[in-house]
Amino acid sequence: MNMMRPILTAKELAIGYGKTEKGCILRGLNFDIYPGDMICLMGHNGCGKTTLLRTISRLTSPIHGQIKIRDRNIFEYGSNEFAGLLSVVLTDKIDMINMSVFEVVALGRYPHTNMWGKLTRTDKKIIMDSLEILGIVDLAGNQMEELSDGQRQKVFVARSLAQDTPILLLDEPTTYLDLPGKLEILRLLGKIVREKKVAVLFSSHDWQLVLEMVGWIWLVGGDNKLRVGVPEDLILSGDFENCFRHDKFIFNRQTALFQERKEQMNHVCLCGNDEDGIIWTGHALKKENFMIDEMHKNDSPLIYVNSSKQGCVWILKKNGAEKTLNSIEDLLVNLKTR
Amino acid sequence: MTRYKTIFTILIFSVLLLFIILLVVGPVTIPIDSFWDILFDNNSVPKSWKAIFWEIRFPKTVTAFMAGAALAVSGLIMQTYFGNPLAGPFILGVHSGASLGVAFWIMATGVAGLILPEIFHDMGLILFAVLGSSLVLFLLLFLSRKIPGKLVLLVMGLVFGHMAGGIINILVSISSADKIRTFLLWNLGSFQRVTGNQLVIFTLVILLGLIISIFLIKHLNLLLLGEHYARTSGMNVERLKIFFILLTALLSGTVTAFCGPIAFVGIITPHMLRRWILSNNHSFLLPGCMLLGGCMAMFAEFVSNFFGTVTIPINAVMGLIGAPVIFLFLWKRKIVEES
Repeated sequence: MNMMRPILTAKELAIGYGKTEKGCILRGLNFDIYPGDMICLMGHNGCGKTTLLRTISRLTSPIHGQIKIRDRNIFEYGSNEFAGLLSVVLTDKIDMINMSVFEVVALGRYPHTNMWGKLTRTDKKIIMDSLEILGIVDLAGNQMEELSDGQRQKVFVARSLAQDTPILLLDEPTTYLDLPGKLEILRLLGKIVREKKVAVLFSSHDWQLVLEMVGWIWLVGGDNKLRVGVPEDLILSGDFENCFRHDKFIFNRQTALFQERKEQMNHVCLCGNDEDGIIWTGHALKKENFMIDEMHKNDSPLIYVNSSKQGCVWILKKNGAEKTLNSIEDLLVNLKTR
Repeated sequence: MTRYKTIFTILIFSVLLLFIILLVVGPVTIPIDSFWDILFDNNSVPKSWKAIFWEIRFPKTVTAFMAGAALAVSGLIMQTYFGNPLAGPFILGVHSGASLGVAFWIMATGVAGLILPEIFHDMGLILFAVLGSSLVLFLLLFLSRKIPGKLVLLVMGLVFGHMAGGIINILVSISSADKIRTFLLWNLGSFQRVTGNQLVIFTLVILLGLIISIFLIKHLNLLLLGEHYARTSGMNVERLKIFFILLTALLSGTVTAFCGPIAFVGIITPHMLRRWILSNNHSFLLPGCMLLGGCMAMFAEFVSNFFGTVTIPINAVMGLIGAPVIFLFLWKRKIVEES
């Protein structure tokens, strides 16, 4: 990593709205992006993620400081020249109708084609390669309005890819997608980084998925400072917890999940012969304000998860009585009625 | 691809057909088989036919086609640029701007007591129409940077239209009767006023505009993605913006100068074509708009002369054909949005 030269560097960057200090959101930013980086930009809503991406892509001017790509200030590049270095996928909802997927992806060739916009054989190959990487070659002839949200997002990523740039920025590419859609986009970004050796910087709120699939994050903390690192380090250092701190929630370091802070806890004891059963029963109990103890106390209810060939049953011992229940739902109902 | 070929074949065929119909039909019917003799100035045809052909029929046909093509193309460019399906030279107040320019020119020369040579008068007419329409478009452009909502922009266009109307009313009230008449006739819209040298100037200016518009196809396509994507894909938006504005002002301004404010062709043609061709690709839309716009204007000209001695003003025809089409479009759109 250190042997390589960064493709993008920012020095003492301050960003925000307008041109004065008044609109400043983030300041004192210093960062490098290397070819082959896959970076996820995280932070609470309104922390300046989108503004940072917009500033890097020249849609907004920095308040001060500078960004350099290949050792040259980004504002020194001509429009076409810059479009050959950096492409973006924005959150703008584009109402695209009556355009085929191929035509939309072909728009990515804009900075490379002649004044007529004629696609050469090379252009067509690059477009098809982009579709190929995202696995949507068979959609090439489809109209945009026929696609699902996930497919549309892939088309826009393919369009950026067709722009053939060493840097790719994506603003919340996983928003609006269902879980498989989110996973798919993240997987494809990883694939693009590996196969194309481009640098990818994207913002996301899908912390759980990012933790699973991304090795390097930029975290905009509650103190408006940018922290850079491996996500696991940021969890252990408490930075992640600080960033998303909320009075009503506590951060669970084991699962990296925020959980509702409970005021009053009822104790129960949970045991059984089925691992999964215990985990999910515990999960449901926690939501309902129960504290799970390892050891059985006299006055607290005892739950035994009994798994057999007939399925799973829950045996509840409460106030001396014993009941066999067929679902977690029944269990919760019985626990709550005194 | 075959679909596009079929549509373009139909369009070209319609243009030729309407062209011939407009040359043949009128108070005096000139049969097609005499065209050859008229073109090559043979003496076998009556002199009056030649005069009617060269002084009335041919100029009005060419004018109608050129005007329709120019308005449709400028409407298309505005719709794509403003990202608004209801944008068009009429609704955005560009016509009003041109009207104001023309009113100013006609009345001001009258008030100043200037008597200008005809060619100079015509050049001034074009110049002022283009200036007027550019003025409105530049104002809209300026506002479009301050006002994010594109709907507000349309309302602004209407507001400008009313402002221009107010100034025109004042100009009318202080002008002499013959100037007012000239202006009111101009305001009705007609393809029959452009003759002789004017036709040459008109045709050349419109052709120039249409040829320039072909170079915008690539940029218009990118603009479908919105301005942010256009910028990050390498479009020099600031420079092209001025280009778009000047071109649409030149096209719709010139047509308005010569033919008067022609309604609806500009806004409707792109919609009809999109629905028909089922593509937003300007490589098809732009040439298609030229042909379809030309057809619409020629058809309107045909209808306006259809009832023999009574000539219905072009704008009346446009209103009667155009309004229901806009209505249908909005109706269908409403249904689509509700479903």
